[in-house]
Amino acid sequence: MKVGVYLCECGTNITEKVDLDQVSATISELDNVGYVSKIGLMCSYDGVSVFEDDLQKQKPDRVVVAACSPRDHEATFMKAMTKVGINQYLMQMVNFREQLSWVTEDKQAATDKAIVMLKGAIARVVQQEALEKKSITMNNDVLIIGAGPAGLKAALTLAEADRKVTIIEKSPMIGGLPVRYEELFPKMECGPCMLEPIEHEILHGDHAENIEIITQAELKEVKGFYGNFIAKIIKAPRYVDTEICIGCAECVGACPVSVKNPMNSNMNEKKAMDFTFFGALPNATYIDYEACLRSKGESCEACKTACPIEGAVIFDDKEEIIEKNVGAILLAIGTQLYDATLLPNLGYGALKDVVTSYEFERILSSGGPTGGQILKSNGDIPKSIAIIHCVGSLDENHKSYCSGTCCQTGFKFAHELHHKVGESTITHFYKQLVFPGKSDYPLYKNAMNNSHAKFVNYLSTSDINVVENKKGVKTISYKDVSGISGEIEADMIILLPATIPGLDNESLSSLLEVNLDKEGFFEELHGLVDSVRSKVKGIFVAGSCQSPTDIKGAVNQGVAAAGYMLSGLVPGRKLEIEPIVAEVIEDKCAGCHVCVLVCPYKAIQFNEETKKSSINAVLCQGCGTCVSACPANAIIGHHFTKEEIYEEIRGVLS
Amino acid sequence: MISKNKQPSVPDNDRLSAIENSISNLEQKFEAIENGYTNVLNVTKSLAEKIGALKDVLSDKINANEERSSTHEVSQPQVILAPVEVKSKQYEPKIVGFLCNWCSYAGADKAGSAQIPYPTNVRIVKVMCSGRIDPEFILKAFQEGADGVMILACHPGDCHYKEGNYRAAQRYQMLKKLLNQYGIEQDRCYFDYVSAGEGEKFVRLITETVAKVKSLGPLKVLVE
Repeated sequence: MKVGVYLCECGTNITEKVDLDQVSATISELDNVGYVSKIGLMCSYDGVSVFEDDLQKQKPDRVVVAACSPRDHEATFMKAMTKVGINQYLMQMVNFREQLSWVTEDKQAATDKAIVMLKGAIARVVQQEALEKKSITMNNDVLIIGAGPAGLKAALTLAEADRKVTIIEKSPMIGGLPVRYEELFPKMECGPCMLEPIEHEILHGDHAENIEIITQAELKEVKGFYGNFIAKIIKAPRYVDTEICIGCAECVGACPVSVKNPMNSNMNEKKAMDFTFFGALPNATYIDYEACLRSKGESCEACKTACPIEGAVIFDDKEEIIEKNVGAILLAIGTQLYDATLLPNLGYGALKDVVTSYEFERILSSGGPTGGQILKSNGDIPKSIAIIHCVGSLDENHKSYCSGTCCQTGFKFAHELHHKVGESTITHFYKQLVFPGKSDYPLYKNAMNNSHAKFVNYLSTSDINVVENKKGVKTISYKDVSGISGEIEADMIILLPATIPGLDNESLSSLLEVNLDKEGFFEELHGLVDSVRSKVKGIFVAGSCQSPTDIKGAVNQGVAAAGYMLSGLVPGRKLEIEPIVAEVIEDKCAGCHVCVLVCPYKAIQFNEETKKSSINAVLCQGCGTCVSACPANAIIGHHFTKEEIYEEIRGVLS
Repeated sequence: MISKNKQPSVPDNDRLSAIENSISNLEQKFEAIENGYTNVLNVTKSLAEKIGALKDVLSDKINANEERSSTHEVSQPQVILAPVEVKSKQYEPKIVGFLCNWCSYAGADKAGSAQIPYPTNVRIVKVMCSGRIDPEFILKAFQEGADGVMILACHPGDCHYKEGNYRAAQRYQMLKKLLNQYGIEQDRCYFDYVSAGEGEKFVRLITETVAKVKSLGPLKVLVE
């Protein structure tokens, strides 16, 4: 075997401390060393071309380059090797600069160490194998789970680049939470007004044909990996054809059944055949089958009779299983509020007119239970309102984090109260106030400047106690941060609970094997520079299912995920598989499952029939943890094989 | 209170003879010290001669031993405690450092960029992740003549591959017990976390480990 050894002088960076002539003389004598060449500045344009010419002339079987850190120029020299037709994995670099000449004072000691380092690399490189990058075809379509602002904007971005997108949404409508809010902070823009143009673009815009929306649908099963996922989706029957329904509401008027309306937190009623709310898109009704008389064996056909469109009401609509082949998946399933009944001293669930922020949003909404009027449950206008911030937040016994959006929600409510109720007194109870960024301060200032507003800084929710007398007047007794106790009366109490992970975070986590963090949010690949990639390749996360965020943050993440998908899933381009991966030697595998347990990427499957493990090269990241864990030595860690490392150890100690 | 300007009432002659006496006393003492010094010097010389003679005897014995062990055939791997070669120059231990690509190797590069000098005893073997460091690698290093081994991983929570460093830490705990059974002092195998930014920590760990292994002396030779 002919090993070509190249010694870079790196200007004088290496030669100043290492006697390369002495190194060259010693190394030339070693087994397998074909020749030793010195190059002045190997990474320079000239240096690389000298290297390439020399490789062509010498035609070595293996190459050792002693220069700077491989983190600097390994790629440069690998490219040069590929260019002249030598497999790039037949090279080993020795770090003469960062780990030798720059850190050693004595020249002879440095020269001695240089020889030892080279001995290791030469012994190793002889063992190295030519590795080939494999490539597989990729599906460029995308599946988005959740039709909130993050999912919708991601879908539009992808559709505009001609990618086929399927959005599945659990509820019968799209738009997520903000479409249900009358006003949005910080600029008091109307929620539906902001989202409906986006929704129309999705449903009827120039690129609508690239987007398929499946409502009342959930992910059932996912197989495969990045570039080649097969997703099984279950779609519940709607009993109304959204394609032909004109949204005239004739059926709603005809329906004889009324039930509690979950969209409005059961604060009013809806029909069994109804819209989720007026204006919801797709503009079509749906049947709440559990409430419908037909589910109880009756033959009511009131809605179908009232419907002016033939075939729009489908009584025999069935659950459907839809299969989609996609290259990537975006999780944007949103959030929910912390259960305020877990803080019983605040009276939620026990006392009337103690409402959560979501319930108050619905009270403010023109499509809500009071048609947008701020009224107590008895129909009176509240005269004194308490807004309790940080409910369950910043509390080690509940949620230790700050949700970051509730302050603005509270100030928005104060603004709405001022405009809709006028002279009502508003007391803000808060632990901390946050209003970062360029737009959040004005609402706070507005809330502060309200002459009827009072701010109480409290330390713990246990310092607040809500009681109600027989006349229905609620008294809030409290202790503030300085230990001063007080008492106020309130007609209505609005709680701002922490935002917590979506209801389905857990089930989707186990279905897709995407990690959850300690709070239950989807874990991102990196908190600062990669918050939209999960640790499973090809599965992306956006919005408040990943971390509490406002609409802006959620949409930015959605669009960022779309960017990753556009750069990763390019029509005509194949997925290159890195060859530095692990591989199971089936004959040696004893079927002990240890590798499956240690793999951080869920890249190892166990075949129950053959009782052997196999590693998916697309998902494998080449860390080698399974290689060391395998008790049968049945896994090869390519480019870091046991033989290669053993030889290197032997070499550096010879 | 000490009053100013008050001189001792001793005549000048008396003072002169007192000074002469003290000078002769000092001279006597100096002479005694000089004699002592010569004695010490002689003892040292004779000791040095004795050490030299002992060295010769010892090296003869070592050569004889080596010949014996090289001709000794064993079917099973066996541990033989061989006398250690005594070199005239200062003992320099051989240490193998297993470093992960993303944090600790980058930390070593950082020390390089900062040009902080450290001893040349450590030979670095790079792996992609500390999770790849098989306990067998460490045993192999000791078998091949390493006097010490260092395993440097990413800090907990920083692993590029999520959790390889935890595996490395677990395996190290197990390995320490095994090394004990092999008769290898635990201090010869060192585990720590070094981030890409911790060049100074890398230098400190290298320097400390080299000093520690130096104080332990060479590893008792393992012969298969």
